[in-house]
Amino acid sequence: MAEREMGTEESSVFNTVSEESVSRTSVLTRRYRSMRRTVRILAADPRTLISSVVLGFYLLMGTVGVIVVPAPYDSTGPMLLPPFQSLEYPLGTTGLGIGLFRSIVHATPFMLKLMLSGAGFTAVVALAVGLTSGYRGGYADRVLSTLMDIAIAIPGLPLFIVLATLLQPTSPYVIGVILAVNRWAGLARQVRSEALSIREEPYVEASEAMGMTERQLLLDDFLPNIMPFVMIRFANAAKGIIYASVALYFLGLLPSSGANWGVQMNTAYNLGNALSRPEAMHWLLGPMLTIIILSWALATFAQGADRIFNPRIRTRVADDE
Amino acid sequence: MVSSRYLLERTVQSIITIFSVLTLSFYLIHQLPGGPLAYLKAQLAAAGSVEDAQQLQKLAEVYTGFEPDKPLWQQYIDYMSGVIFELDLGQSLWYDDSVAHLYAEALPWTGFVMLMGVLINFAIIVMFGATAAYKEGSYFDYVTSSSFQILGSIPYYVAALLLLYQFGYRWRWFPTGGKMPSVEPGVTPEFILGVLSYATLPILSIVIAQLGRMLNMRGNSVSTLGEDYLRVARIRGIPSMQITTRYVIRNSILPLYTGLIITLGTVFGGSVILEQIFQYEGAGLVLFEAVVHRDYITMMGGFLVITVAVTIGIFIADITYGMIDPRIQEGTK
Repeated sequence: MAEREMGTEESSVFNTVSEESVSRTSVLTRRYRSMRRTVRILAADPRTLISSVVLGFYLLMGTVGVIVVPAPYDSTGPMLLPPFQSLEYPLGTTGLGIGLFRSIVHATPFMLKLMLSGAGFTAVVALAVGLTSGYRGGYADRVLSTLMDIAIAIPGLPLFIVLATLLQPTSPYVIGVILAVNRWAGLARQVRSEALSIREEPYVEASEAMGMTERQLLLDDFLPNIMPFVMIRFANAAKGIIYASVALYFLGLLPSSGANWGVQMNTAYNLGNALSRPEAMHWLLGPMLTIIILSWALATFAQGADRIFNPRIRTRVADDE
Repeated sequence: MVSSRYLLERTVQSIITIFSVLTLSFYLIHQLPGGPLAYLKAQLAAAGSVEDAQQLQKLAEVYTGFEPDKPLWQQYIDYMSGVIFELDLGQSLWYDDSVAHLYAEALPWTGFVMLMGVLINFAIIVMFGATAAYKEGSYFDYVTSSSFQILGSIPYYVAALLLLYQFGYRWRWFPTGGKMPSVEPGVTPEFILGVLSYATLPILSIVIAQLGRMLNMRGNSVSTLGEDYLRVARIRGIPSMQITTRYVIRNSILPLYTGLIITLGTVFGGSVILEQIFQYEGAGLVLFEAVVHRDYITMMGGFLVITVAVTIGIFIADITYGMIDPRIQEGTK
């Protein structure tokens, strides 16, 4: 029943006005309750809370930070100033006399756009393919499953390198999609098996018996159940996009368009010779730590969110002996 | 052990995969600016060694294996049969060697490092994951899961750079580049130890970067521990050590095994950057150098070789998965 009511709210186009207004209040209270529950579970584990704060900080850095922090382009600072020495350059300066903190902040919007487009593409394609495959079954399922298996078998980085070399993309949105070109497959397979198990649910059978259209069925019965699952994987996909993009920029295989963490690592590594010069190591460490913290936050947040939707993980069984 | 229908299905699927990747590679080579031939001719002409236009054309055809006069489908069939039956991936410009030979020499090194990394990592995450699940909620659980999560958030190439900095440049425990010592190759202790010391840091990077998967093992074990058959096992008085190894680990490893397959693909693809950092002359470094020097034929060959290697790896893993998990034998996946 709960799923049906939630579904009504989601797709009110399919219902008469009077029905909608009746169920809307109950849906809202239900929503509110489940939101409170969600927040409680999130807050129960401090790691989840910290990771949400960290993610919020990165968002701030990419939006407000760019306005507040001065642009890094004036190379007037001292060369290779160590971190935590001056207020003007909190993370020190590079071998070119550019403030490290400024560069990192001003690279954030580019990375955020990249993550958004890559993870978004992954989620949308995975949903479309996985749902169709799991719901339709039969011939469509066979074809799509084979497609998924092929895409999964192709190792990401070499494919990205080949595509990047041939296309030479500069827009963060295009790069994001390239880096997601086979990433959707793993998620689509999971969506498919979720859809398969939802198919077995009695309420789906009921909806089918009631003669609901396929579109309605997918929107009302399948989507609300699969969405949380996909949202969690969204964070993981974003992490994968960051990994791959920084790898390509670090190798110098993508045309460097403006500031980003991978290019910074590349400069510190090649130009600054940071590995063999301890005094230049902070130049390399700055962007590396930025990436590590972000990927930690994404992974931890995804796990925390997983606990909300996946009661199996919540069960505590260790002390029952 | 494995049902023959399942085996057949998986074989057909692997063949389809390899075919698709070959087709993709053929398509991508034709996407080169002006086509592979024009591209190569320009490169050869720029090198200045060949003046005669006709000779240039011939040479370019030898290198790429493409003959532009033929219709596209004929070129496609030539390309496919060349790759499949003669293992002809063309001729490398930069290395002055056949592409197939280049990768045949480099691939075992990559395979060694990647496999070692993944296996050692697997042993660690299974051990710690199961123990943490058994002591769920304890201090040990909290500390190990948190630290594994942090370590697992380090991208493998960042781990590689950090390890190289600390153990290679600062402490000088391990060499900072290369894949074998300068002693005579052979089954001598010096050579083997040397090879291992060159491989240690790359292997360690893989092990560290994949540690986050311990959380999956822990999650699986936690839900296995809640199963009824474990309660029954405890009531029957089976020793807890036996419960851990027989029931918990076995059942929790199964879902991880498919993850292992995907990891293998990721790790193998990652060899491009890992081997560049360590200057470890495996398939990844060959591919990287090819990209840097705009040697597209070698680049596409590397893409093919790595993909086929991963496909075969997945195939083997899938078949053995059927042997480990008795439920798969029915052919129901």
